[in-house]
Amino acid sequence: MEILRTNNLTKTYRSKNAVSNLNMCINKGDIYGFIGKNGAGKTTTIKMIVGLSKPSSGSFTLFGDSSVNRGRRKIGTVIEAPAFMPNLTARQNMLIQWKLLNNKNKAIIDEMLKLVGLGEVGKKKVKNFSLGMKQRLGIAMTLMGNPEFLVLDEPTNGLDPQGIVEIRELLLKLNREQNLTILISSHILSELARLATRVGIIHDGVLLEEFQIEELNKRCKSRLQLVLSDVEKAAEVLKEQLNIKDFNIINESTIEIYDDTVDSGIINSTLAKNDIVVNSISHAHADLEEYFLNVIRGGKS
Amino acid sequence: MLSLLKVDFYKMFRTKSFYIIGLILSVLSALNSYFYAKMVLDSVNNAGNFVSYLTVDVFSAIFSNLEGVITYISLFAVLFMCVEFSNGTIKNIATKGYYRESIYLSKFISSIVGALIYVLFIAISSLLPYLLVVGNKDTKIYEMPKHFVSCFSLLVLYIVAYISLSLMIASLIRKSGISIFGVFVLPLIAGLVSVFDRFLKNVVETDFRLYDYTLSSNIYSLMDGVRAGLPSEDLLRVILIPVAFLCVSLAIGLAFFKNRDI
Repeated sequence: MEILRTNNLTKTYRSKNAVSNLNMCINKGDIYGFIGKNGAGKTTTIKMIVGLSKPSSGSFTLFGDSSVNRGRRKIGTVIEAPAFMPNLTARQNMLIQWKLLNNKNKAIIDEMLKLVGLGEVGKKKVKNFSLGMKQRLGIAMTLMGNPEFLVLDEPTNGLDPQGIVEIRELLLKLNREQNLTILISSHILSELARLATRVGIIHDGVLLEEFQIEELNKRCKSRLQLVLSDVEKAAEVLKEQLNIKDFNIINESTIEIYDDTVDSGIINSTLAKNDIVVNSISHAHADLEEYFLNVIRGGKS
Repeated sequence: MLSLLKVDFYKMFRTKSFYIIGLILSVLSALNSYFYAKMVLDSVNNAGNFVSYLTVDVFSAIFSNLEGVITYISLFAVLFMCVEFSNGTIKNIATKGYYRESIYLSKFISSIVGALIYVLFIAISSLLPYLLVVGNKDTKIYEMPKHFVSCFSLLVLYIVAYISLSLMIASLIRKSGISIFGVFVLPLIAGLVSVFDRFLKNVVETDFRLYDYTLSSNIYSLMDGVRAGLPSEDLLRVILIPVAFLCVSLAIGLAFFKNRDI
């Protein structure tokens, strides 16, 4: 089932396109990692989806329905930073959200606070919370309406490493146990790579690529990284004696070979025969971060 | 809509500024009516008259300070709206699939209810000093003014018009500081209009006065009229001007709130 489908979604500020003819698709159960630099159009796209901003042109459907306001009631959102009444306690802020959602089950307030580890904060006002506690409260508030689709813009901002792991595990648990669909944007690409099942890369308002995370491994070429004494001479040897042309000199002591059919032992012995000292040979693999950088530079991995 | 109203009332009663403004209004009203009652009593005593009973009119006292009351009520409405933008909590509401019009109208209705609570505060705090000043005399402490319902309806109409203007300013500007400045600048605009009228009279030699169509000018008419019973002269204008301001500001405020990004 399609949770979100956008059709040429565009947002123009004055004459500049912040988002340009965006076509993305999120299916039920996906954890969609939305990647892009600052100002790439991630937040603008998310704002259009959740109703904070009107598209200049194009359209989208939520849960297969073009009446998006109905669909928005099934969405939980944290956009940029979670927002609260700072002079109220966590429970009072949750109560406001509970009233907004017209929820009947009041016990869910305490359940959600416990779920995110804020069950014991008592009468402490939200303005005295740490950033991590605020992020957790924001997620508790989004979960209160039993949403079918979570839209999270930088949910791990300001969290310590333990907090990041806790949020990741919470989201994975919700996805696994409740088949919750999640759209998540984050700058921490290593985190996204562990979480996302599907990835979309946006740059200058244009969705450059959209793929399943398994595809990333196929798309990212593995490479052999050599650290040696004389890169110029080594380059000559690779070309003339070993007939390897797909390589790159990274710096004065490092060469990367992208031909994965070559034997590292033969390379080592050939270089040694030519009096080139090989300090190390290692296999490296491009990760999501590297792949992303390559894509937005217009190159291949 | 009912859920939005519930949330807005909850927020209103949990906001410090609601009580601070209420306290300021109550204290100012109490002081105003205390000095007013004392002045009336002193003038009667100085004249050496025997006073069998003294008539004091709390309602007139409220009207005597109507512009000040309305400024504070406008201040409350502006803060009530702007705090949603400054805290970012407007995002929590707007992403829940409510129509923007409903969100704006809910703020409007709850601000009106808040203002009526303030009027109640003012009435009570205006009455108490009267009791204190003239309570030991054989007096008729409180007398309902003539045309109470009509006067009260007009008072509410002006308050509603000013709330609508304030919410329009708040939804256009969204920042508390500048919006508050806007509220305080509003009465000055009437002064500028008056200057413009004088200029117009000198240049075109016309009797038309734009000032007669400002809210401030009509508030003065209302205040004078209440003292006399009911503004009989130009009553229609005194009613129509706030209605026009209310409709136009509500339409502009709604349109901006609906179409602008959050």
